[in-house]
Amino acid sequence: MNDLAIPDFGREIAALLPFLIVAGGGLLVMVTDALVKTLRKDHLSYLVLLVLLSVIVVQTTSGTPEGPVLNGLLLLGNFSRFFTYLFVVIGVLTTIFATGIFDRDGNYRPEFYPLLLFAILGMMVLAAANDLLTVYLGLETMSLATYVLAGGVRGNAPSSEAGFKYLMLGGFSSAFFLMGVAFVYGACGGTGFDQIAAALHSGSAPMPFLTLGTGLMLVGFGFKVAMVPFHMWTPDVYDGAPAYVTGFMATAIKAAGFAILLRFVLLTEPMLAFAWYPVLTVLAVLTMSLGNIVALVQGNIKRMLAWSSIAHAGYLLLGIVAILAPALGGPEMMARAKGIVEEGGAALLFYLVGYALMNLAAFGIINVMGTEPGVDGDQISRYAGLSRRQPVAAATLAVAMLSLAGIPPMVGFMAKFYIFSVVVKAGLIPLAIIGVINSLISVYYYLRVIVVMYMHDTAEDSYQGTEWVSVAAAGLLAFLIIYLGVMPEAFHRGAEIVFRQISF
Amino acid sequence: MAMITDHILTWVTFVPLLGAVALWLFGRREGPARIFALAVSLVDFVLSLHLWFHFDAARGDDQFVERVAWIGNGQVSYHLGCDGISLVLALLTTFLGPLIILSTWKAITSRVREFLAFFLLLQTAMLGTFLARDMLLFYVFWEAMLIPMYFIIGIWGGQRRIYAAVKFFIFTMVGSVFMLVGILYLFFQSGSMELTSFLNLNLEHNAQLWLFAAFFLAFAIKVPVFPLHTWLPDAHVEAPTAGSVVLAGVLLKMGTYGMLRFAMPLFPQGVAYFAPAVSILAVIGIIYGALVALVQPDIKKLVAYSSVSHLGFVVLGLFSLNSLGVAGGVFQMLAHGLSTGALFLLVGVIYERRHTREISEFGGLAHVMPLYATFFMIATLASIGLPGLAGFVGEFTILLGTFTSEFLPAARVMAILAATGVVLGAFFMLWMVQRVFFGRLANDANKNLPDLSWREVVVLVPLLVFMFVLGVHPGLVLDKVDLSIQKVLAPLEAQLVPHSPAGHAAIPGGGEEGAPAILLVNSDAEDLR
Amino acid sequence: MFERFIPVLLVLGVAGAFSGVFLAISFLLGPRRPDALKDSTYECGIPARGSIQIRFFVRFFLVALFFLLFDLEAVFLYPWVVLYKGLLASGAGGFALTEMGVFLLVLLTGFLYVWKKGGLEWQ
Repeated sequence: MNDLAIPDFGREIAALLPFLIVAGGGLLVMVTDALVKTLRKDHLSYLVLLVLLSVIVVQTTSGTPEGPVLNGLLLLGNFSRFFTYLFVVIGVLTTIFATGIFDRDGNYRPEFYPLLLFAILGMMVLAAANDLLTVYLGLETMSLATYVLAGGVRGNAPSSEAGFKYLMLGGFSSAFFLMGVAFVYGACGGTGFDQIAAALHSGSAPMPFLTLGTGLMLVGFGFKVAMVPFHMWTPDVYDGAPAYVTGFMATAIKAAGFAILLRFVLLTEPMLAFAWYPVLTVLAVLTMSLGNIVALVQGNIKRMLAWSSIAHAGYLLLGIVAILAPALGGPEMMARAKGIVEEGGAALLFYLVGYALMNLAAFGIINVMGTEPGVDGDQISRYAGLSRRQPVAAATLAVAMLSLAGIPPMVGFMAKFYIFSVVVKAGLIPLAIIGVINSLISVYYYLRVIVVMYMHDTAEDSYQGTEWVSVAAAGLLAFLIIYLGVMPEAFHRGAEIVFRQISF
Repeated sequence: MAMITDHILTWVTFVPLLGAVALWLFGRREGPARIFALAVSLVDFVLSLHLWFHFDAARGDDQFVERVAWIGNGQVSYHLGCDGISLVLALLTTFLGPLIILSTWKAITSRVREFLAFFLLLQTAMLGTFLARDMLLFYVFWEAMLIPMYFIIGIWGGQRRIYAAVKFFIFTMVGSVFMLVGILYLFFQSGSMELTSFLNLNLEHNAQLWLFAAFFLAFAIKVPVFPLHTWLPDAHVEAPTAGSVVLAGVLLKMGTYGMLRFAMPLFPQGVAYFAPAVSILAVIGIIYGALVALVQPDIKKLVAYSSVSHLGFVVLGLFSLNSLGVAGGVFQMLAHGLSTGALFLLVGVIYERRHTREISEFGGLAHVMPLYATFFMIATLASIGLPGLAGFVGEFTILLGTFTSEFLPAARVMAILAATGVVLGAFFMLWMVQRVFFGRLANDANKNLPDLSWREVVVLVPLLVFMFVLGVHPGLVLDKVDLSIQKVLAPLEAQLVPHSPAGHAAIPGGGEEGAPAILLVNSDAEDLR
Repeated sequence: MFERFIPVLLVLGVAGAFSGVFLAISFLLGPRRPDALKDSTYECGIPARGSIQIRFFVRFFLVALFFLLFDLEAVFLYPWVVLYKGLLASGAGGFALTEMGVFLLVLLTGFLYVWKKGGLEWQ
């Protein structure tokens, strides 16, 4: 350990400032919660918003250094910055949604705020990770915080069940992941991404260990992004957790999971494409199909969106499969490879952002409509006649549903367009056909929500109040959904630039 | 003005959208909202008249073109253009717009503002579909059209409106998603979403067959071609009157327009391969639609099935693959839009008064509602193709085109079978009119029905006037579309080999030498005028 | 290099053998006369009462967890102490000291939270 390079203190601090702000902010919020003994805890939400906004400001104004920091444990640059923005924005919205519910019920859960910040910290680390150990660190920081968030409604059985289930299965997946790390370490002689890449290029790494290790790691990632067959926890946890947490999990955790999956796949692609490709193809098809088919019969909107989020993981996997395809194709394919890889990566990032927008819009409304988890507050039938009682909320949810179904001119269509066009470009037309058939199936259950809201009569006992801040925030998202659906180009081009940093 | 005329297509397309957005400002005031929406649709109609008067019929190409890069490095663009075919259909859309809004004055009483907003959105989507020259843009409009129509049927429809709305949505989606894969494949082949770049692709035979099938499925569901028509009666019967009118008047034409604009010129070999099968389906549709209409107890359902029959004519005309048949098809789209639109409006009139559409409930209405009976009679005659009215020109030209088609097997048999469809059509429509309007005024409920109000007259008269105008002077439309049709069919010429040397043995140069047989048949069209 | 471990193995083997032998002897030679009293849970004279599935007061777990947390984190101090001399020599003493300071600060924050939230009170 004596050869440990002593880092340039100032540069490191500057580079890590966004991380430090979130971490320090989390501690600060924690201490404030403990020291300020008031009944209302909404001051904590302002503190959280302040922390998150200062992350944005710091990251935008200070030219944070590019490249590896902390002896190569983290890789900073466009990619990590992109995801930091995404996580922070999701965090801001989640804070707004959660505080709306706390205010409405007069029942504050102050531990929510620091945990949210720690989860975001974990995600940021995950997206910037450049070493398997940092990956694990980020994964666990994120997961531990979310376990508690999911089970955060004390005395509510479904919520506790959700937290416990997520904890147990998450623990298993972490164990798999760690085992995989061990094998890869053994095969490559290091855990740094650079070391792994070097070992792969030199061809010195023994294949069986490598395949086994990456396979086990795939289990870990698959769990986080809710990929079939590691999806079993999703419906129960999404249903049991309070809606603001579910929205956070469905968007941020999925984005973080795909960020690291994308990086890892690209890292190991040169040697392992032959193994990744068939596995991911099959899993993508299974994930899409199972998610959509089971979603058809759900009567609870949170469960429905849980299955739909599984299905969307499948579409995202299609993008990864398309990225991998060139490495297996013939020389003609290799000529186009660079284009496909970059377009595929950009499509994936675009999809993640679009998916975050539409899911957050949906969960923002579901959150306002819902009662405590597990009480039948999330039955779709409760939304009957919502369009008459709360036109803005209903319109927002309708836009989110149409976007999730992939109907133009919403962002969901453009996201699917980008993904499917890369899939076709990679010559995988059967996969594209399976994809569109799936999005066809999904239309049915997304429409059902709209049918209930717009075409059924008002339910008697349905909730009448309005959390206008939450509804306005969700409405803003609906506007963005349409805007990005009509004008996707600038954003997509940005995603391409972001992706270029990590494509080897 | 220049700002408007330079971007006239954008204005025509998006004025309704702006109107829909502005409708939110009206709050709960329904009266002003109605007047505003009417004004918006009238403005849009006036704007589209600019297209009509400045359209240069001596050129068959796209005019008023607007093109701005949209996605990628100009791979996908916001590209609007207007040739004769688009012109006619866009004008039909903007023409029906104000009439439909006026017709809802009494019929739509709940959630008026939302209805008007959805209707204006629908106008934008339909106009965009007809004017788009970029495949992705087309697809966006094509799909976006589903949303407002879905709401219009689902919220303001009849008893089984939800079933009908979902069926409509899913049926249409089924077709379109496969078309999307086809579009993506073409995009990948050509590197651009421009329609013209697709036209320049030399696709291999098998690819053409598959792609034609994918595109045709999407359009055939929309038309609808037998046996994909099952959503149509449901949608028509459950939709509110305004929805039915726009559905019959414009939406169905999007399908036939799509065939003519995309499926046929892009995949000539696919057309050659599938044309016989398609035309057989069209003939089956004509006869089947007429037979089923015959036994309908519900006036609206009867008119809906007559649409299946009439659109069978359009498809038959298009796939006769000569410019006579195609011109007839385009003309029939217009004529059908006018006559069936009017019929649905008229059915709506009686439904508003009696809240039933059962034929058996009526009889002898001509005694109490003479004006209404007259209007209904004219629309019926136009629909069944009485000479002097619009329907005749379309059907006759199509039959002529089919009869002389060199590319269809047994073209003459098909023409004859289709002609029996005309007879059947006349029979069931006139029988219905007889049962509803003539005979004894038996039902007491009908004794005091008021005749048409001034508002209803205002809605109907323009439609009737144009039925006459187009009936006696079809050249008004045919002149505009003639060259455009030839241009659209041009890619087909080189690829098609006449099926049998029969038909016109006298045509010099036949098809063997690749001579433009299609152009030659055009002389018949000249004679017709 | 494995020779060095032979004694260890030897000890393990002998220990295993001894215990195995004695168990076997008592099993083979010992008289067995089972009766109800002898088969009961405790042979020390007090009959078992109530369920054995006692619910421990949740505070026990809380305290156990706190102990585990702070105890475990204190372990991190040891490698730091061992390396500190070397770090000092290479001129990174300040850095290392700050790092450990931050670490302890975080630890203290957690302690403060636990304290103020009443985690250490036993009511």
